[in-house]
Amino acid sequence: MKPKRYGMVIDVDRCYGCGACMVACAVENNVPPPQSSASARTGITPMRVSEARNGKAFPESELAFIPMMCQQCGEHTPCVSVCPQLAVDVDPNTGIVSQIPERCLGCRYCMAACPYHARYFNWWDPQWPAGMERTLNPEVAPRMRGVVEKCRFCHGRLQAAQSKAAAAGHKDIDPADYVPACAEACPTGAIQFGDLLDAGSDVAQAAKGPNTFRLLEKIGTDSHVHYVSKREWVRDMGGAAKGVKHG
Amino acid sequence: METTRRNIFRFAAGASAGVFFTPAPWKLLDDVSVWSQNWSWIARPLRGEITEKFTACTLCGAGCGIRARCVADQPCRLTGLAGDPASGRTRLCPAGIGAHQLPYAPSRLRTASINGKPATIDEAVVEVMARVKSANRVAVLDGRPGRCASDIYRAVAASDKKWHYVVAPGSTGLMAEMSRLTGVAWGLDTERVKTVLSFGAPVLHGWEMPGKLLERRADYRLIQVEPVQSRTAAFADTWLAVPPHTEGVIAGAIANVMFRDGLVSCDAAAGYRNVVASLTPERAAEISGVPVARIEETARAFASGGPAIALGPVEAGTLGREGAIAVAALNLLIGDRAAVVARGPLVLNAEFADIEEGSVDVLLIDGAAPLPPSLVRRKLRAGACVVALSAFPDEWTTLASIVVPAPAWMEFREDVTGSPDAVRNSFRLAAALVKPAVDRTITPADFVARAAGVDKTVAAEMDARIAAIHARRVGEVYKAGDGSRVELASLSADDFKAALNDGAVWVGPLEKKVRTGAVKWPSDAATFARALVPESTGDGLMLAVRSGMPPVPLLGKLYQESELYAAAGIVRMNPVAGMAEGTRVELRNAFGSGNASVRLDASLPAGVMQASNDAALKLCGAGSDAWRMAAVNVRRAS
Amino acid sequence: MKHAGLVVFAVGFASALAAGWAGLPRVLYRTEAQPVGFSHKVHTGEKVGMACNDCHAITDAGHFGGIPKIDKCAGCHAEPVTTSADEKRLVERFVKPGREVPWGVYARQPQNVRFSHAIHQNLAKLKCEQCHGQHGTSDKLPLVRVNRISGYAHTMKMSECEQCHAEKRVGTTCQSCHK
Repeated sequence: MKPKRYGMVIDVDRCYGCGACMVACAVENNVPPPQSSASARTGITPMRVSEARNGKAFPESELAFIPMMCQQCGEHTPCVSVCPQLAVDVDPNTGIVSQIPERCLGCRYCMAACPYHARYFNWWDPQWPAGMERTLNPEVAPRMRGVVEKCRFCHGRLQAAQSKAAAAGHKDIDPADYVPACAEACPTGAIQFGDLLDAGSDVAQAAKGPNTFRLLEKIGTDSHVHYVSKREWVRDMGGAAKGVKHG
Repeated sequence: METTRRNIFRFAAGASAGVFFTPAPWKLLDDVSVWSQNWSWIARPLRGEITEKFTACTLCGAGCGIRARCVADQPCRLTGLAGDPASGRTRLCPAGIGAHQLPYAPSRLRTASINGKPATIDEAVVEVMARVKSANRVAVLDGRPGRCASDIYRAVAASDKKWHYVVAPGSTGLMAEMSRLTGVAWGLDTERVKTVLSFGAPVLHGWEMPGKLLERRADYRLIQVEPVQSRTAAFADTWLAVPPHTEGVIAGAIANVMFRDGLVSCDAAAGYRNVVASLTPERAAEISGVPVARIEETARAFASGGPAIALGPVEAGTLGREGAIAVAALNLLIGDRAAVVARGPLVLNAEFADIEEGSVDVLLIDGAAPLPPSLVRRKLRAGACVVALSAFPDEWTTLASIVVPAPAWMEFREDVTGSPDAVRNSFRLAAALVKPAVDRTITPADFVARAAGVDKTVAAEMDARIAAIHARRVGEVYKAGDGSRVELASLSADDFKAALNDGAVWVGPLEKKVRTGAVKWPSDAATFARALVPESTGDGLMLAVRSGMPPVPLLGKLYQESELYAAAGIVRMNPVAGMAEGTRVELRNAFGSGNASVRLDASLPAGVMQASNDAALKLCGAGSDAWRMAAVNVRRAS
Repeated sequence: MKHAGLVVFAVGFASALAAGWAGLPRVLYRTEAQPVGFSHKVHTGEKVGMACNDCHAITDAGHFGGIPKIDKCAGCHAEPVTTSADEKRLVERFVKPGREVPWGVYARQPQNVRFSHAIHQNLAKLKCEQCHGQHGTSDKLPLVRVNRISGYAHTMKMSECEQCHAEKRVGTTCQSCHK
């Protein structure tokens, strides 16, 4: 079976910052509603949309919203290289970077190593108000206090797609069965997901586009999440390497 | 062998050596580690069969159809219905996606209360009946007109002269003003529209209506006229930045240019020419600072941009009544090129603004976006009683002396009649998918019927409505699971009811052309023009940022655990105001005061502030129904 | 006594061996009987001839049905079809009142483990016996022995899965089997 390289192409010009992806991610991954003392620094938002400005004053100011999640680094994956517990690994068959809470000892070295600040720490045990725990997704295991978590490209959905394919006797999944929660939720279709190595797929084509860039391209993480914007200031801000060919 | 200390040590040494030749140490370590990875107090997902059920969201007027993925019959994931013809959106908004957790939100009202003291529902009924008995005027404020519950309210108002039925501001949709001018109910044709001229409408905000415009962004040109760079303004094709409350002036001037340059293609519009005669682009430029050329360019874009629509905000809140008329009028000027479809004759309900000042003794509220307390108090007589019927605490429950807990969404079967802006009538049921999480609640309409002594229930009204729709034998039924379509006429009454219970939606036919009668243009041009121009005093104008988001628990991700949305207690202002970031300030005007923390935002024009809802709303309520905005003074808080 | 010390040491050694091998298992586990004396042999034997997946089926969506619900038993046992006392108990205590039988589960894995029966049965082509032994043809259900510390019963440990996975060179990353 040919290895896949799951990735995303996110159209920043079509993200209006509604936050549907953030809520869908929390629902899918059994992230509890915020504790009363949680803040932007201590909360858990495996998908987080941030506002960016072009730095100009009214009326030349421009706005962009950047959906941020684990960029699924392919090369020298920083978090994998620092974890003392081997709680993180890269699956060569899918390109997805894992996170195994049961091995994590909570040193948070990976959080320091991640250049994208895409990892979040469970400062508290996850708690749901009475009755709300019935709404948990059985395809994802809840974590506990003291471990790190991050976006795993809705790995539970990949596993469900694999089981479904296996029930019919197929080894390969049907791509329509594996769509992460954020891509499914986005009302403008700004988030595209798929196999970057499947040359015919929309995602693979979009990843090679002229206005496509990756965040902090120059540090060479070979991330699998691409961003697209027709606006130069957005590309510059993202650290788009000028004159670099994508592939 | 003697039991000496030495022997004990020898025994212990032998045992310690021996234990490593047994599985014990490793087994115990292993079991302890498994125990430590499975703490009993961490919740576990349910185990059970995975099934699919259908319902509809009733958190706003869009009425989106919902597919609920259930585990052991408990909804765990909600998604929209792709291709559904009646849903406001086919992909849910952030509130809808997290709505399955609403019944368990800890803030839920669990008991009725009278003057702050807990009471039973029966006691609340008795209390309301007593207040109604001694009242001259009782008003029921309906936040979502058109439902079967609304039929009950109307029946109550019909049964007793002292009861009045009014609908909440913003509940009648974006086309409400245009409908009022013409006596015809209009729907917004999102399929055909090529140019959207929006005066502060939340087209791309991601919440509520107009949902289909959000999903079809690539299909039209968007011109956003708005004082601040909202999400919609930032992503519009053109952002026309105007001072707050001058949108009406701009709309009037655009009409003036259209008349002047012969761009008006509708005879019925002739009566509006004089009304806007004084609102020349030069006058508008003087008032608003927007260059004449831009006003003229906008008028041309609107008049010639294919099927076009002019939209105001969902509530008249920032524009005031006259501003809303000025915006609606633009659609009438372009005649057949307006991306609207007539739905049928207008059913006019009295609005909250129409209530005579100081006349209401008892006000019962069923689900409405909050209004400034000052505005509400104006309508109430001294000593009046406000009754809030709600599942959650909100601005109304804090204003009310009697609070009655309602069931939460998904706990009871209700009906959804589709957005008031849709081009076709529709009807679907929002099925009850979970057992109530709170013991004693009562549907607002059932409570009002009891308090008014009217023998009707929502359940019976729904059955009656379903039977009435079936009897007319027009329209189509779209099944929820596969979206397959059948003619209503081909279904028996029982099959139709069963289909609805399984999540199907009935969609009525496109109405044939409805004759629009004479347009009720404003009679006094001078008064109209004057009302469009804002007065401002104080350090600046504060815009109250709309909340009214339902208390979906996971929304905290958006404003508490990230900075995607402003948390409460923040006021944004331009750095020229001279305040440092994070300064605690007091906002004050004649209506009261509130504290907030300063955020500097260079994208705001000088003299305009944006404040998060609760404290800000208290300060609004100046005349002319412009209640989303107030002139305030800002001082450093002591 | 010469070498008395060594004897004491040896006695200590032997006691530890006894405690570790024989004593610990007895103390560590809590034993429970199944609520109904179900016999796989009767159901899969010649007379009835059922196959494993007649009751333990995989859905089209790939979910494993696990232990069947009472509806399944009621399909044949709405009334007793034999003279067995166990069957009578099943019918009177569970089928007629529509109550689910609180079966003790031997193989339950912790929350974070993902095991797909569909993949192992259909793609790996494993037979049920390879992991579940002779359970399907046993006459009596074994007692459920629940570990007092971990709370799990006869759960397969990760090392047992790892062996086969390494040999067949499949699913070798953490996320293959963890949720």
